[in-house]
Amino acid sequence: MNGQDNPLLRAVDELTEFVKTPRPPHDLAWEMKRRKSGKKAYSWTIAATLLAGLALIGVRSLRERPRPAGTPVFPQFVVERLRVRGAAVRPEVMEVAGAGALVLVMPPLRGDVGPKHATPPATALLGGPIVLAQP
Amino acid sequence: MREVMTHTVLPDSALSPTASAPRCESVESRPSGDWRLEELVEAVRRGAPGAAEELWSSQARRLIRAAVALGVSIEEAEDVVQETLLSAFRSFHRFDRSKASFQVWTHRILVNGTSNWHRARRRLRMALAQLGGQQREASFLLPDEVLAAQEAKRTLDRLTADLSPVRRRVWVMTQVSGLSMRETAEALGMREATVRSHLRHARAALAHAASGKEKP
Repeated sequence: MNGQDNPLLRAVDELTEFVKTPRPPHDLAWEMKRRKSGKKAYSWTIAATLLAGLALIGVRSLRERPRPAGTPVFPQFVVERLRVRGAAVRPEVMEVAGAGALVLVMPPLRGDVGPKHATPPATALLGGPIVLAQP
Repeated sequence: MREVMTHTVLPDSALSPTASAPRCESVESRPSGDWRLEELVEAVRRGAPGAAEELWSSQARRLIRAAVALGVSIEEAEDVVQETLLSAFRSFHRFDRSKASFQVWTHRILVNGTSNWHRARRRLRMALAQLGGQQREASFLLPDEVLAAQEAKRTLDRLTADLSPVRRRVWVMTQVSGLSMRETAEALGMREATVRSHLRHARAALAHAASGKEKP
């Protein structure tokens, strides 16, 4: 029996004729198996994501941990006090704009200034990439 | 090639406005291929090679017919049915034969899929209306086929215009897919008596639409 004597079923049949039958995917059996273990894989994914998130939070909290006031962000480039030729100096760093260099000026401390100390302030040129710390 | 369907057909007399009480016994009959379907489902469960593909092929055509009757466009019916079957097979391990047959189960998934399709379609139409554009179907048919398809679609839309979505689903399940009242009730999550009531109203509405009279 078909829908030839019923206008509605006939219309449905005619329209159905124009629709291609979807073929089963080649990996249908695999899809089913994959789905079977899907819950397990899903749990592993959640666990791995959580671990990764925790690790990220840990790294960030270590990097952005509160520093004592005055602690420089790039301590490896900060020189607080030097002794040059037996005299204590307070170095100053000046950027040479556009040159990609810093000039390290080391004037003698106040107590070392005088006629007996005619040595000009020591200077050094630091080359390489410049990363200036935010004040 | 059209697959021979096992559904029972509503006769013309039932579509006439004077149609009497619904002949529910006609839709109670089980599709003849059920025992084969059960065997196939069992074979898939055992992991028999090729069984899943055969089960897929045995259901695809039936679901396409149901999807088209539920109003899915012929351009997208294939995709909707493919998604339905993929979803069914992916969660095959959750399928409980004691609760519903495979056919009922796939029809339940199809009904959800078509509802989503209609919802997405409505949103797309609204968005296009706001942008001042209009939707164009990607036609893969020959010119004469386009005319035939358009005519059939017009008939389908005209006859089902007054059917509510629920009644349309009930009508499709029982009359197009050949599910029994009990199976339809299971697929749609309603009581059997409610299915009977919806079917009676659907038949009356279809008969009215077929008679060509204006709605009072």
